[in-house]
Amino acid sequence: MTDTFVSRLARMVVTLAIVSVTGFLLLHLAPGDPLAQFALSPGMTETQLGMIRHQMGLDVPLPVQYLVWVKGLLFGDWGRSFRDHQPVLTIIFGHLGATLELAGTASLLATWAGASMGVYGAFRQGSRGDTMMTILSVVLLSIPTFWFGLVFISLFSVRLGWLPSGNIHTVGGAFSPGDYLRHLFLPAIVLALGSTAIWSRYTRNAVAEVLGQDYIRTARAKGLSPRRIRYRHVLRNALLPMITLAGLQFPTLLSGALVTETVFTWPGIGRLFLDSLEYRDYPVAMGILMFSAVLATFGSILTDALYAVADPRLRVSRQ
Amino acid sequence: MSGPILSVRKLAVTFAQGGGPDIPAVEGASFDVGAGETVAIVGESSSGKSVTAMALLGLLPAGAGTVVSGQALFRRDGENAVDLLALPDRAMRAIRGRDISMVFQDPMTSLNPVLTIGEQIAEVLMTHDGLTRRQAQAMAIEMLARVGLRDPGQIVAHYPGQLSGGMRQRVMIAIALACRPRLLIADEPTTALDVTVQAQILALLRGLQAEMGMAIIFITHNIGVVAQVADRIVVMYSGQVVENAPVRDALDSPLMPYSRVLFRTVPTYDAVLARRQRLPTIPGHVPDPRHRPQGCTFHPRCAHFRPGVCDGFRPSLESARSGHEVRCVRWEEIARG
Amino acid sequence: MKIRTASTGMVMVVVLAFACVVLPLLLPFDPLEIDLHHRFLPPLSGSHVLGTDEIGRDTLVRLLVGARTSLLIGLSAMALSTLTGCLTGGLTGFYGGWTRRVLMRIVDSVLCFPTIFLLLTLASFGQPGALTIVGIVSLVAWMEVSRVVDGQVRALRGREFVVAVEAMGASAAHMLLRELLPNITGAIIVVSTLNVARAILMEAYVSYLGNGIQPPQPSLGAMLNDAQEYLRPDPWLAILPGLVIAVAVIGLNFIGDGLRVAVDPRQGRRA
Repeated sequence: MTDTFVSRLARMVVTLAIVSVTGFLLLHLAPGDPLAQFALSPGMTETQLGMIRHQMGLDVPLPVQYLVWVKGLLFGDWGRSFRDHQPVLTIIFGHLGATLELAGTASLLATWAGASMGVYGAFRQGSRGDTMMTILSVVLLSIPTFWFGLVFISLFSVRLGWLPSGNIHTVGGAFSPGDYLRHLFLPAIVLALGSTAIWSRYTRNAVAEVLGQDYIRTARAKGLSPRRIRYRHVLRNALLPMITLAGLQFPTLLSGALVTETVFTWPGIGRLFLDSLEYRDYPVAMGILMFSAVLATFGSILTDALYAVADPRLRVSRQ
Repeated sequence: MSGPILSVRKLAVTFAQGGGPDIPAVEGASFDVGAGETVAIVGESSSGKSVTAMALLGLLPAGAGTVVSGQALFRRDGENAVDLLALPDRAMRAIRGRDISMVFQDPMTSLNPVLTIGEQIAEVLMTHDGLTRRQAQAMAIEMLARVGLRDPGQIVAHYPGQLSGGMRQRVMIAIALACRPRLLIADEPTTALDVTVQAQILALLRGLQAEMGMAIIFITHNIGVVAQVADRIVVMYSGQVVENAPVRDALDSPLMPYSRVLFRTVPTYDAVLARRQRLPTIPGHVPDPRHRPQGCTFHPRCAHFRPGVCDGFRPSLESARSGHEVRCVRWEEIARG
Repeated sequence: MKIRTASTGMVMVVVLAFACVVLPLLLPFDPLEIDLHHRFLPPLSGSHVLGTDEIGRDTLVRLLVGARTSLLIGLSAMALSTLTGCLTGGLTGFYGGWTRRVLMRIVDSVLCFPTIFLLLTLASFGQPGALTIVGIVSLVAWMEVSRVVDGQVRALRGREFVVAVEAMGASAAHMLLRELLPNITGAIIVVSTLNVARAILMEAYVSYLGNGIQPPQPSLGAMLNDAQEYLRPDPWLAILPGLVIAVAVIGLNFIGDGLRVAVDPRQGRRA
């Protein structure tokens, strides 16, 4: 714990600054023009395009655009969408709920399934079951998420007709919890698959590591029941590295959500992001980017804090 | 003494390794431990002394490759003897930590870093003596006081990371003795500690033994420690017991050439006590368990090696005098000089 | 067990590589040849072993050529990212200090971006195509190598044999190239193998989202994108490209995991 909270915060600010500059440059320098959507309208003249450009604030030098944007960012004005002129924050929060529901469900599923697989494998190292789990997690990590999406849709929606193939609820229907859950089911599972594999490998290693420790031998020498050893001694210790993984999962889940939402036409942040990239809707794209970067860095700080609370060794050394 | 509380007969442990030949870690070890007696098992690393201890408590990794055979009769209070090596898991668990406990070498890694000291002592009492959490916690404080820790009321709430190595070893001892075991197995309990702390821990163990009357199997390679604590010495070499004698007898007149070199630089009991000598080094290496020499396993390193005699068949453990056993074909010749 | 999966992986990759180099030459179809009379043929129908797609192109040939592109992209991206990663990681690990701090800040920041965002925005810079993909995938993948090399070099830096050579007056370049690098080849090979797998996956994602290999050139990701529209009548068009990706990536991951055990037995026992 040589890192003080302040230096952590400073590092976070530097990281966010780099992210904002890189993201801004990447977006603005990439070919493509936000005005493309207007340029195609019949009767659009150069003068009119110039006016639009001016209103979007795109007619000043790039560094100035950046500074204007950063200033707004700091004071809570994240700009307005080039597409529908809604405030960026309003749009983001409008889509956030759907993504959180999807990613939240998926990460719960993944943590539960992955951790169970990992614990199972670690306690039976070298067994047939353990080998199967290991192979299964490699397989899950090796196949693109969207393929699972397509296959599940083709099986459960198209062939069997059990579950809907997309959207958050039946189009035109009234909202009902059952209908919502049915729509949530497939995308949540697809999004969870990759993380499940990561959790399973990670948990297995963490538990196997703890199982080899001297204090587990001590616990056995004390004549404790296997159950007590497993929960109180092994899992308590294995939990610590798993906290770290939970924090690191955030950007991965978001990337996964991007693709899953596309496959299942789920109206969340991920799809919004892809759309805004396609339309060169800079304010929205940058808004989402910064939003997720802030969440990711907060996630890692939160992880460290949790770790410090959960691990007596750290609690002690801070005294 | 009313007969031994533990009699080990022909204990053998073999580890199978994937593909290669099996590794015989212990080959037919036999010895007794009397009630309240301290038996030191002495030997170089990989002599099989720790494996012997782990096998007695059923702590060897339960993989398919580990084969334990032989007999280890243990007498609990007022009961018939049970064979530790043949007990089902559940019965063995009831003995571990209650009738036989163990203290390990490295106190820095042997305590669970995320549980408080109090919890780690209390859980033995709750498991074996059926105490409530509150009773067990009170008992834990008492035990901490008995192992000589100051402020036991504070220490129960501490985590191992807050204690020094010596303090942690005291905690380990408190855990081991919480249920008043009849036998304590101490596997190099002082090796990882500073010299001054070593002496304190030894004194503590002897004091507690006098008070509680348990027998101790003391595994060590430190002859000085042996002289201080042991009633009897069992010398192990490459998986076999090569000499077994009362401590004074063993140190003053060792019969097996290996023990002779082992104790050479420390010729008398008192000198050993005074100098607290470590094991002297012996030329050569402990043989690889997979390729042990023909005949006496010590013969390649033995100063008294006689071709045709020592490398033919494996000598058996024979009784030299009352209570003094030795595994050497030539012990009589060598003793005569 | 690990050895067996590693050789299974080896077999999977070699067979796939061999198939996608040799088979297209033997099959009587061109991957771009349109045949509107034979559209949506199911697998095992006549001469089209795996059927045809929405405009009658032979699925097998397109799969093989797509896989060939994927493997080539994977290998090239691996080469490029390994080179970059070794250079940066070697330097930061060797010199430490500011060099290292700056690099780590950059790596941290890049990791803050969702990978897909990086891939998609970077993809829009160049002409969409194989070379661009190699470039952007390397840009995203070098960090992993860099971290590993940095860690390994730092760990070895203080070891006796390196200190001894330094005391004898060896130049930094000599120490890095002759003493340090040979000792970490194993670790580098492992990350690189896993990076080929990652690159193939990334190519699939980018092409699936429409910014990768452009039609009519066959690509596994793009084929999946096309197939999406025909999930109801012709699910095999979606299933087959996914299976090919799976074979390649699983094979490479098996090899990588197996090599990891060979390189670092301690790690292997736990993994």
